[in-house]
Amino acid sequence: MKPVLSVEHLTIETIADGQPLVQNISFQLAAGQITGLVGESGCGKTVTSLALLRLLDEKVIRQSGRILLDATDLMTLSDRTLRRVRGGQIAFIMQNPMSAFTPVFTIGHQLMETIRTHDQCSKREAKERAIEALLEVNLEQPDRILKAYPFELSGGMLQRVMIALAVCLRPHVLIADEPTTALDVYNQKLVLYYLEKVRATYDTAILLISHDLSVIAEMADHVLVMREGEIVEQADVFDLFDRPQHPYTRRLLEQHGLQAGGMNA
Amino acid sequence: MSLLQIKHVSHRYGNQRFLSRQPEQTVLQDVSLTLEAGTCLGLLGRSGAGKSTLGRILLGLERPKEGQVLFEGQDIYQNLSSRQDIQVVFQDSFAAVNPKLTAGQIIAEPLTNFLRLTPDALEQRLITLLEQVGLIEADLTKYPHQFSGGQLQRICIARAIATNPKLIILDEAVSSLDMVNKAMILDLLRELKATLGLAYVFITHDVQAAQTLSDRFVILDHGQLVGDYPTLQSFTEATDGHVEAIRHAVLATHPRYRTIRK
Repeated sequence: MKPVLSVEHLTIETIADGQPLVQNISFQLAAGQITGLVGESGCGKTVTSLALLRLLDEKVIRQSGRILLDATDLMTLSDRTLRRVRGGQIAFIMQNPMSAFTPVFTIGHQLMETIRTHDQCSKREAKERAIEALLEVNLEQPDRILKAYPFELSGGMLQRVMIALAVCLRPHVLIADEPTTALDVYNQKLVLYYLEKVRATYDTAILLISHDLSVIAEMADHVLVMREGEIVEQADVFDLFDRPQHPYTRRLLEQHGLQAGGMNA
Repeated sequence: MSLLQIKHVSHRYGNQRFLSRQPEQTVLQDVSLTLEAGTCLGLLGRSGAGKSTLGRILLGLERPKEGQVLFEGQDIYQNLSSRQDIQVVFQDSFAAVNPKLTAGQIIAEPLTNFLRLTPDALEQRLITLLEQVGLIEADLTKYPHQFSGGQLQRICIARAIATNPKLIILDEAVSSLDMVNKAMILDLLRELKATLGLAYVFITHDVQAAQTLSDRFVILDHGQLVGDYPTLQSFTEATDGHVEAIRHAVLATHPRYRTIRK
């Protein structure tokens, strides 16, 4: 299978004291596959996802290695070209939908702005595409939502708007950084369900970052286990849950089993 | 006598806008509950169900529009001494502490408010508290940003138990922690409950966390109490719609049981 995105020997360190945040990690994302990235807080999950889009502050942090999107190395691109990639070919879903939207513009304004930044089209066409995207994540009364400000929607609704925003440009790669951590369990399942729908419909390659092994168990094909900036194990999701190789993975699964006991068959 | 009695509590929020008055929104409707000393009540429900509002009412941060809350038989809005006996731990530990204070000063705040301790006794008490929550003396002089989320939550717990309360409101206290920290904080809470005889109101939407700590379960939905399960067994065996909805939302623990992806 040909990878859509491949990361080769990515290393991230602080410039000030050379402290390594991520050390020499390599992995690939394939079309139509969900790759889970799991680890404790502070292990480098988010910094990795930001590095894929080169969103880290280059005055503070140095990154090396290769990030190949199809055949292009994102590390060599200029800021201007990168801006076409961000949102267009690689979309990002953040953990906290409340702070990911601008509070001063309506949802409609933000959706249409994003569409028109990447694709040349009329306002009317952009609006139609925005409505279509909102309907795809089953948000009722899209006209009303377009006129609403972020604070007028619940966290679960906003996260669905974020998915709509991320997929309306049909990206090849979708990075979802803890997309359900800020939501209650009811909304969590709904949001995961729509992520799966995106994957199935558009054959998107998804990198799903989570500290919750249940989210990984529900969604992933392949799993990367990260600890202190290193990938200690990568495996097929079934293999990982049935035959964890690394002691750290075993420990995570053990804790997961203790907490989850009872509710599942 | 029960430790806590909630009697027919209703609460509404006014929805005021510039130049226009919208009708008030009911967030709690005729909620009645009792809680015995040394037990944990799991308060479950969706976001927006009124769980946190009920928590704020129990803390005396908000006064219900109707109904009464009795702590050891006395109305908590008249008998202010109950303030010392009811403490709270919130979800976002970084937002719950003053970033300019050291851990020692944070934990000392309720002590200096409620008790008169000599500087030596205060220091001694702070060290004991830190040890109780699994931290060390050297942490006293550190600032919030020097701690991880899990460690800072321990400091919030130390602050909550500082005045020897009888009841702690845990408002989503483990919801934003990763699995490793969540397990450790739940262990700590269970241990403190046993050693200090604490009662908890554990507000959460995480049913697995609720099950590891609670003796009794209630479900709030749209401000109303829709389910009351006196034991863990009666909760796990219940088949009504509200419990089913919670169960349905629980994710698989192993890819073998997954339902979102087939």
